[in-house]
Amino acid sequence: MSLEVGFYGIAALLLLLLLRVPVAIALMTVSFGGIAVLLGVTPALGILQNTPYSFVSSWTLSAVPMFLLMGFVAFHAGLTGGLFEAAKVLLKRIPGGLAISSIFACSGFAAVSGSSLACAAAMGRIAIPEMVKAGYRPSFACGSIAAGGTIGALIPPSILMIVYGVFAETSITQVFMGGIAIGVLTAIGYSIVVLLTCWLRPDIVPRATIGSEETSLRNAIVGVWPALVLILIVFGGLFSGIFTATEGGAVGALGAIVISAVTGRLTRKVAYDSLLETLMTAASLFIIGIGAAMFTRFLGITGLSSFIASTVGGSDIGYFQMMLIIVVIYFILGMFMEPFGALLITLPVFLPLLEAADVSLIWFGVLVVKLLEIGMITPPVGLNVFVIRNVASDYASVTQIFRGVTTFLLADFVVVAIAIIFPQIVMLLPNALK
Amino acid sequence: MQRLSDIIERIVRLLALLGALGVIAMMLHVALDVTMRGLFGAPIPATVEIVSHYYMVFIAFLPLAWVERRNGMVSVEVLEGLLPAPLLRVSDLLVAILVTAIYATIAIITWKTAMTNFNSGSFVIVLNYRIPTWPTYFLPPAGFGLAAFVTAWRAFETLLGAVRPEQVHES
Amino acid sequence: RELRVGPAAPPAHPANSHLYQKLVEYLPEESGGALTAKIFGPEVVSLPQVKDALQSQVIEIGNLLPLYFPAELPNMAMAGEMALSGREPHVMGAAVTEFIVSCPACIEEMKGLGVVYLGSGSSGAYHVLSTKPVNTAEDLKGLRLRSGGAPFSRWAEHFGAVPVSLPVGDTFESISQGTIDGSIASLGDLLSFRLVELVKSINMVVVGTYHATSNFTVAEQTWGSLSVDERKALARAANRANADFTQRWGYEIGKEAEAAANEAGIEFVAPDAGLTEAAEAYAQEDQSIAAELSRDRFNMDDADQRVARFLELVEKWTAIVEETGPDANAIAAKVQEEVWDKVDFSTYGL
Ligand code: NA
Ligand code: NA
Repeated sequence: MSLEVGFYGIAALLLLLLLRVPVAIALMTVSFGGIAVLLGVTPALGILQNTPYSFVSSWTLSAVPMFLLMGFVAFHAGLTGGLFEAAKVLLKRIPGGLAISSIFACSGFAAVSGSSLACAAAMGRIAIPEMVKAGYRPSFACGSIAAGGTIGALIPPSILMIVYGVFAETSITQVFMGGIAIGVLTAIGYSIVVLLTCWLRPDIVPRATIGSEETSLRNAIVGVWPALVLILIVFGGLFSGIFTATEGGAVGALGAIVISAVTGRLTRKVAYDSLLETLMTAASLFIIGIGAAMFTRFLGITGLSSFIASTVGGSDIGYFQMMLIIVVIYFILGMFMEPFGALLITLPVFLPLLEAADVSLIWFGVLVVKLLEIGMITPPVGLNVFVIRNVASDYASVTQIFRGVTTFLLADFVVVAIAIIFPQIVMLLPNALK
Repeated sequence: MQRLSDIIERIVRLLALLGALGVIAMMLHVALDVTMRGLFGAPIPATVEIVSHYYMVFIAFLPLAWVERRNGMVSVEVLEGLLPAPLLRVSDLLVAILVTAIYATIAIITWKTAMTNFNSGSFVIVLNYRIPTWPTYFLPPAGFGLAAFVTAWRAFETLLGAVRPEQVHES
Repeated sequence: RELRVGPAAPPAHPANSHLYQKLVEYLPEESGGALTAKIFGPEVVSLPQVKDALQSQVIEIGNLLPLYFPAELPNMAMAGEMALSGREPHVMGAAVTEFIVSCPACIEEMKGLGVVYLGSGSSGAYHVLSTKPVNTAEDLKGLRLRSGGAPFSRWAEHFGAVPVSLPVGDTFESISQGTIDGSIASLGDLLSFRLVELVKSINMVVVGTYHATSNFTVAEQTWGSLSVDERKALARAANRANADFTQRWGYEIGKEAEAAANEAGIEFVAPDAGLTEAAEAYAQEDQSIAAELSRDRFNMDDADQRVARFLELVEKWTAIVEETGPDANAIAAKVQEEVWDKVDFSTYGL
């Protein structure tokens, strides 16, 4: 009976979203209604009352507005423009060079950010306008960064992997090592998507980059240094142990502001626009996060995990069948839930099964984080898409970004298949470390 | 009516500016903490608690009314282009009413929590410093309450047939 | 009747595996099948949400962390301030339980939050887990150590270390980045938070214990709706689970962690005589500091007497545990006899 309420809740959520109810409000309404049906009105009010504060008062989450601010300042002050000019000049012969370099920039940035939201937040405002200027279809440009952002949680450091390691009582360092492989595979997969799109659909990804002739190599190199200094501050500080990935956002934002000020680019308008856009993006994202957290609590109350247990357990199934079921379950949960909630609901069910089947928990951690990250870009609740929608509101609507993401999702499934069929690829580094 | 609209506009801008101050303060505080720890081995005590119980709550809840005023909330616009204008207006009205109801409910129940915490003077002890936590419990009711006011106003405007508010993102 | 219960911890954590899963097992036994319990995991109610979840009946029994509510729970906060006096986990679990249950003001302050108290448990002894070797008190100077509470911070500062406050889940990242040098924690954290991968050296000086818990915190409405017999059964089941929890958190996990640490090549350092003596002396000194702080901070006028009463109970249970040894069943029986059998369940918590 409880579980039925859960299914009706999902149906109601889809209906509300179709009726153009804001995502956050749709999630809150359904959670409230569902819990009221299951436990009564007082508990339902209780969930509405304490989820907002408890979700927001989070140290880890504070990295998101800080990296947003860094991205907005870098964009408005033109700190990173030079970097893209240089990329255009250097990569003008490579089809889709700008998108590919943006994806690799996301992968590089992943090494200093602990979550995919922070990664997408920092990269979105910087990269998307440049791609659109160069003739990319906006929805594709947005989709590439929404997807590219997910690499932020695959390449260490990764908050999700830490939570997994703690939960599964398995080596975080080794899961991190496995994450490098899956992160690189993902970046390669996304790059292939760009190349193929360029080849098949030059109307989406232009074959020749517009405007690459305008800048000389010399000018391009000179224009690069503000971005290089910023990169040096953030990477240098993180790798020399001066700050953590969570603190890196604040240092990066301050770094961007100081560099802008020193180079005379910090106008009143730059400061004003950057701050207000940070605030707009952060606040509208947090409220969706609050809604998603309520929805997770609602699904937890429906007894979803015992349902999953009964679906997976019991029958005697082989490795590939089990993995297929697990992939499908995470895909479905990822559509509606935020990754931490999905992790908490599923692991108690999956871990004993996997231990019984003698599957490496290190490898599984890498796979799970990859699957949860896919959920960040699937409709209807895709947090990375929402953050991109806000940092690039002039370019594409939510629906268009979801459409722009679809081809990258295909690459994701290929990567997942590779990880399942050839687990040794993921385990190469973890095993070498042992 | 225009006058009231102007007043609302001024209030939400003020809230946004306060929120922006929260962003700057958080950045400076964390950066200073990192510097003090790295250079002098003397981190600023309770940085984590002040960030999570103050700045984050500031940034999340104060600007809500302003975000609503700018139509900055994310929705999935699948049917946007498919519905005829009169139906869109009806749906706008219903959405505004639902949003107002949710915001108002949260405002009322979080207000009660804020009063309880105020009366007991809630605080946490961090490294032997006493950090009061009760003040920021007033931010959710304030933020959601004002946002409810803005969306109620939007419902009212939609009902009167005022122009459909466009998606605006600059302040 | 099925009660909704929330451990606010994942399945492998002792607060789930040896506290709430045990309650699920014991409750039908003790109540003759009248009461059962159903666990709602941390995805439904996390630690910071327990109080509100109890008040709004999302769950009916929850693992409440008193550390979050010093203003509302001054007596519990005072018991927490006595962390440096902790040596033997079972002693501390029992002493805190008797301290709270035998003190009408303590039950009153729980009532202020709309909840009823059913006992505490204790961690294993806290040691210095660090990436740099600590051999003497001198080596502690300037070390940046995560501290999980005010008394541990005072201890760190006393020895010239720099206490850092961090959410416990962030300890791994901070140590691996090198922004902190280690943590003052029980050996269990080596496994629970994977510090076994990062820590190089453990100085076995006993810093204290973490014992200001409220393991089974029952929502007032729920408690009031149970019959007197049902309340007794619930208290008996909770009492047994409390002892299991301390057995696990205070003893077994420490042994497993020690084995894992040895395998990982972590060096165990026996504190030199100087450090041991200095730590004992400071623990003594800290008792009056704790009293003073409780007076100023939690508005506790009779703080000195409260501290004296607490220490008296620690002494009492030290003698009892010396006799029983660290045996969960024997200790549960003793706490039942000394504490819960003396409670009038027709009025307790109402
Ligand atoms: Na990362
Ligand atoms: Na999704």
